[in-house]
Amino acid sequence: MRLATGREEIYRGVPASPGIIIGSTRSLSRDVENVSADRIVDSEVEKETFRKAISQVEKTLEKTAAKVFQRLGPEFARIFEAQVMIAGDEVWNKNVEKRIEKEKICAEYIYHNESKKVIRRLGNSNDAYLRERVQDIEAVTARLVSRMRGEKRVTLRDFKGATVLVARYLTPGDILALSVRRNLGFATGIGGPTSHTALIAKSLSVPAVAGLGRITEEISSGQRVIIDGYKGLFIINPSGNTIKKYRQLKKSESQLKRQLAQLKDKAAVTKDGFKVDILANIELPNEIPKVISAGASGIGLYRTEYLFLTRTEFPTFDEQYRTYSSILRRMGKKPVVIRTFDLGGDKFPGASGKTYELNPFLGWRAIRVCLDRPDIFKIQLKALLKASRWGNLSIMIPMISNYEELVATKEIIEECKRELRNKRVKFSEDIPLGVMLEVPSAVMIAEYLAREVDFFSIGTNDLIQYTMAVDRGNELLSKLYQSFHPSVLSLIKSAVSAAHGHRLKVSVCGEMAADPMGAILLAGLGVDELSVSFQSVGVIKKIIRSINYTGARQIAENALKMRSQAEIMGYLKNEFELHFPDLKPVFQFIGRDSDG
Amino acid sequence: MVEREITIMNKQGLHARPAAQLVQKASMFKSEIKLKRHNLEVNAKSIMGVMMLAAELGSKITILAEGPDEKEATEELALIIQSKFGEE
Repeated sequence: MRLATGREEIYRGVPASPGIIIGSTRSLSRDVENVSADRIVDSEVEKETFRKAISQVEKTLEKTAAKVFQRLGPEFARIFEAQVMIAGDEVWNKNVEKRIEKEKICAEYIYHNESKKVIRRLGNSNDAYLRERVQDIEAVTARLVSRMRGEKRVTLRDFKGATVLVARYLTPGDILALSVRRNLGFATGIGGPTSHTALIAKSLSVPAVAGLGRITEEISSGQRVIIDGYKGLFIINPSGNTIKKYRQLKKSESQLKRQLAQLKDKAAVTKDGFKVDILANIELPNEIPKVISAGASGIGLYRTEYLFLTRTEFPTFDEQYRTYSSILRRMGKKPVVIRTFDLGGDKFPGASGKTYELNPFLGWRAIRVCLDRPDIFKIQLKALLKASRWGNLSIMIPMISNYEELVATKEIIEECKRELRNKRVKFSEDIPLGVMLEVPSAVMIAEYLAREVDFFSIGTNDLIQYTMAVDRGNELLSKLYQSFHPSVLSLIKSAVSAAHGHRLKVSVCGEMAADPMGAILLAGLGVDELSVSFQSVGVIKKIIRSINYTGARQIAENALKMRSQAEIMGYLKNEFELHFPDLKPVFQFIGRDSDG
Repeated sequence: MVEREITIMNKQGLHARPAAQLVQKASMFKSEIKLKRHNLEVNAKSIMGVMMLAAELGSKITILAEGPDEKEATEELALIIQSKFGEE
């Protein structure tokens, strides 16, 4: 435990989910290391207490699972399945009782000691699924230990007012169970912007900062803090001035939100009448109501690999069909672009077929995996085809780097269509097919790819990473990961001209589209559609509605003549202050560190 | 004592749901039932035990049953593993 100095301290983490909370901490300890082997007098009494504690833990878990099932559906309730089974393991619990009897040591020590053995073993497993179960065992053990010690666990009711929940990590279960509360934020020690914590927090609109390190284990409950989910800041003991500043910021945040809500049904058109459609990126189907209320004109990217969020085995044809068709049905006539699995590297489920890669981002992932594993790919394609009759589907292929990959993909799609026809399964005949341009080699042959597809989508996150040869997860290189590098802009420019030469539309679905400056630049480069997370739809629409297309074109043209990101950024800042003064309030809510 | 070696044939291996099915089935018998893989022997009636086996597709495990219904137990468990736990 650290000593409170009373002075303001600012910690910098990763912005995991936007929003601001000014409140007090509630520390959720993951640390069950200090379980001492206390001697007990009466083993019968201890065994009875243990049995009671176990059944209470089981009951709580079942209740939470039921609540989550109601609110968020079976996909999420599944997270608790393993924990309920672990708590209810009779053989295991009998063994603990036997040891209590024999060793005359307290139950929590023995339980903890037994789980450590399993955790050590599973932690070394090659199987991602089993490694993840470590968290479940830890969670059940922590619950049991605090029950035995008579401590109250964090429940939905036992804290009042604005609260920042602080922990080394939060399991998806914790987040779901706690997120029914308003005025709640998360601060975690580990995890990045694409961790499960971040994803679920984002989709539930709970402000969160991740990757804060040791501090989350050292801070005690009841401390006054601020979390800034836009910039990724965690401020302990904020000074009067800081609190004032953040109250002001929260006020303008809600003003801006009200303003943006009014744009919901307005088109994304520039002042001089040029249309730039704003669509939404989604990871989870439960984001759809938010996508619709944000006023997005469709879904520009559904990342299907997040079907694995709550499991690691491959989803069956039926499960995939159900998910895809429900998304399509709920979006009605609005376009829905579904991207085929971007799996590989660390995201490959189960152990089967997985090999260790030194350089996973340059390795066996996305379409490369799918073409090598047609068994997996064809199930997905057929589920997509069958679901196509429910709405306005487009299929998008990630990580194309060669012409032949596209040809092979199209052949597999035709094969799937033939197989479905033979089985008399109906599907739409004219489903648009697009490729993602995220590897520079694909952009350079975009001219040839354009003849084979119906649209392009530029994935700027990967395109920047591959163009700059910079791992975007590596903090040491964050200065070199440059969205506005001249090379990136010129690649986007040539992708756009290849597409427009063949009358194809181009969208951008990376973080760059959600950055106000990025959005203006992309519009100026001729990009037709921007696809961003539902939280950013309103802001980007406001930006498009505040600019002149001719002006944006001129800005992009001038930027293309510059030598470095520094020069381009300097120029853009100047231009914006000059031409778009009314966009100023928008900028304070965009963490400049988080651009993609 | 009945002993029988069997290969895991379902794609997921002994993950959550198949493991739970196996444990449920095993718990229906009076006999003591152990599963063995490499040097590790676990109780077939314990989900933690079965998870510890980390048995994926293609791995060989041995069922060891001892008790009044050891024959039926071994047969039934082998059957549910062979039927791939009802997976496609």
